Amino acid sequence: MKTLACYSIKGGVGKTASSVNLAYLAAQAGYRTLLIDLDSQGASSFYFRVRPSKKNWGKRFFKTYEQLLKQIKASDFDRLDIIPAHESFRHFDAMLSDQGKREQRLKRVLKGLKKEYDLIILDCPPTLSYLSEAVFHAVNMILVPVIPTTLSERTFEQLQDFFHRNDLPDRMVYPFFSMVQRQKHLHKSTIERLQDTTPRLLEAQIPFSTDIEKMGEHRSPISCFAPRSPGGQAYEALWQEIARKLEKL
Amino acid sequence: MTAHSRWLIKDSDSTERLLDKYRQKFTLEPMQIRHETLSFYDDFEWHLWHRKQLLASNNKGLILRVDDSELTFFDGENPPVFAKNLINPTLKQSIQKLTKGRRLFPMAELEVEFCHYAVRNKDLKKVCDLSVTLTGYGTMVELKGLRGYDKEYRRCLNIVLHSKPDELEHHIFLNSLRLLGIKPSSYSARPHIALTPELDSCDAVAIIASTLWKNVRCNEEGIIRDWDTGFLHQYRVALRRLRALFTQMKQSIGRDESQWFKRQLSQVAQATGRLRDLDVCLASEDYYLSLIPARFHNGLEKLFRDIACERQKEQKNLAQRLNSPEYLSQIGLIESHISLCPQSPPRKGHKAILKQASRQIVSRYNAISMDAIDITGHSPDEQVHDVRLACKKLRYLLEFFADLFPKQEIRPLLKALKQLQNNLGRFNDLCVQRENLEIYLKDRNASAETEAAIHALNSALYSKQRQERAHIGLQLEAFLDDDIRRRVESLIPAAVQRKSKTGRLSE
Repeated sequence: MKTLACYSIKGGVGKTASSVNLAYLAAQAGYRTLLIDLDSQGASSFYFRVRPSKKNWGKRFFKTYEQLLKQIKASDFDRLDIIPAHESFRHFDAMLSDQGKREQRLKRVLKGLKKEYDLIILDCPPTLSYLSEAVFHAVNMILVPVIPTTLSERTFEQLQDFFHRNDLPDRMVYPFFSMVQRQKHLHKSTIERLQDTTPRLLEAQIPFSTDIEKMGEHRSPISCFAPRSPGGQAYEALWQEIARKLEKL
Repeated sequence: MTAHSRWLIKDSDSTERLLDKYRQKFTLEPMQIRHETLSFYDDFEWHLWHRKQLLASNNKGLILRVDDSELTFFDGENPPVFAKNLINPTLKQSIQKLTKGRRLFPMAELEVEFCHYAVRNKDLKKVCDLSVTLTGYGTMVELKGLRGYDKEYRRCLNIVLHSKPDELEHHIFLNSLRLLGIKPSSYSARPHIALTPELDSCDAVAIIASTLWKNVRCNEEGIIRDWDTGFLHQYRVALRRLRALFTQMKQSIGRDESQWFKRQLSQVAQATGRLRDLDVCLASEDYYLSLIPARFHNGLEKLFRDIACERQKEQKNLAQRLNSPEYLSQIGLIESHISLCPQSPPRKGHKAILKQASRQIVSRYNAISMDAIDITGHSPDEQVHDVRLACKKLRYLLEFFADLFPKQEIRPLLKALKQLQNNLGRFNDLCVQRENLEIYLKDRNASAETEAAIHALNSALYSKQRQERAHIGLQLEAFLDDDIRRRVESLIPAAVQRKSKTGRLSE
């Protein structure tokens, strides 16, 4: 079982869109996939029309994997299941702060799912917190969407600094450009500059696209309702690149 | 595990009412509606049907398989002829195993409508899969729950249950084919022969003979039309069994009658030997290629092309023979003798079959024991072949009369014998194949390339033959051990059991 997280300190960079589309494409490619929506806003769950449980189960999230099993819901697509977000997830940091070995907690509960799934995708909230630390310890790959703008570039640097300061292996961090508008000079120059200097930068770039925005309207991955659109093709290319890397892990 | 259930609804009005009820409580989205004319396939022995499996084709590139009530679709497949030609590897492997490589024949047609619906909640999230399959002989409603949506599944199930459906033990296709009057042929390569222990042994022999004779005749058309190599194989096996029956039970029907049958059946079988040898050889092509280095492959492929040509000619000759008046008159003669059998049974022929059969089995076992004593690692191959033939005779006896003895005694015996026979059979096959290769080299003007390939193959087969030979001692020992001996002993009715001083079983 491989685990990957879509993560960025900054919000609105395309983490959820990436998680949703990659989860869908992985399932289509034959991976038994579980998407865990860790962001209490529940956007991933919304895209798949999955409602969260009415019970306040967030407090049991890190206890045992059996707790997670109870919350798994099938999506409309073969081989793709979802653990929808719950608003109690916003207390994860407070919960983890009270627990020993908190950075290992998530890894431990996810381990119990390895018989059922080939791939787990974590859609993370935009914070740098105890939860993010637990995510960094639990996954094989961290995908970081980066909008080619100064602010987004800056948050990516902050993430790299965090990894260095905390002796975390940055070889698992894979940035890729998201919401790219090539006609913008800033985007173009940022891409050109970072392409030469950023290690492990993925080749696939996700364009800024109205089709991707329409995912909310369709409540389904773009790769499902408009696979041939530029956005759909970009996610396909991104998945192919990631799949190759996952196989080597 | 997700919930799953299937139900039978007999009339189409109820189906419409059922769908309306779903529409009232959920959003019912048709995902796929297709109409197909399906041809169902099975082999001559109905292997699939007997295992409650079905294989169908729409003759437009789609194959459907029902396995343990589970329906699976396979796209891009031609109508099946042989399992080996199927494209999907999983399907190919499993059908090949089930049908034992035999040809598939269309056996029935059904008009089928598949309707697959997604049952959606108010968020339009799919919460259950609903499949409705209509065959004209009933409607199957199938519900599949989705993980995390158990409540919704129960609601869906209640809607079905409300219409008071019948339970469906098997897939609707199987039910429909049965209603259509489709049933498997009574043919079996190993027919079950019901005998009572008190039956006169001569009558028992006659019953077995007429059953086996039917098998001989059933396979003729398949040989003539060359449907698959299994027909010739089973034709020969039935003839061999008949011969074994008449020779081993000669005390029951009389020596002269036994001799007559033996002669006639040998003549009939004789004409089929060469074709069978060629079939066996051709079936081993891939295996042989795997035994020798790639540089010899061209030469060997050439050899197989020659053999395939010869097979074609041989098959034509045999088909002609089976259609000839000579053959038909000989068959007619044998047939009338079998129907008159036993013509003048000796005294022993009126003894109970249980007694006669058990004595014969014990006698055969003793004969193998005596022959096996002399077998050492250096014994000539001919001696091993004699043991193989004796084992075959014992196997036939055990199969003919299996019904007369307790299953718990016969099964371990047959199992042990089968293991030994497999070993001896492989050893013999290797000997025969090597001999055939030698004959080919002698009789044909083989190219240098083919000659080199044959030599390479011959040495590989020789080493395999030695490996098999090395196991024979141990296998024989296992077959002659005390447990098996006790089991054989136990077959004799208590009243006739006595032991000789040598410790051999009484006959």
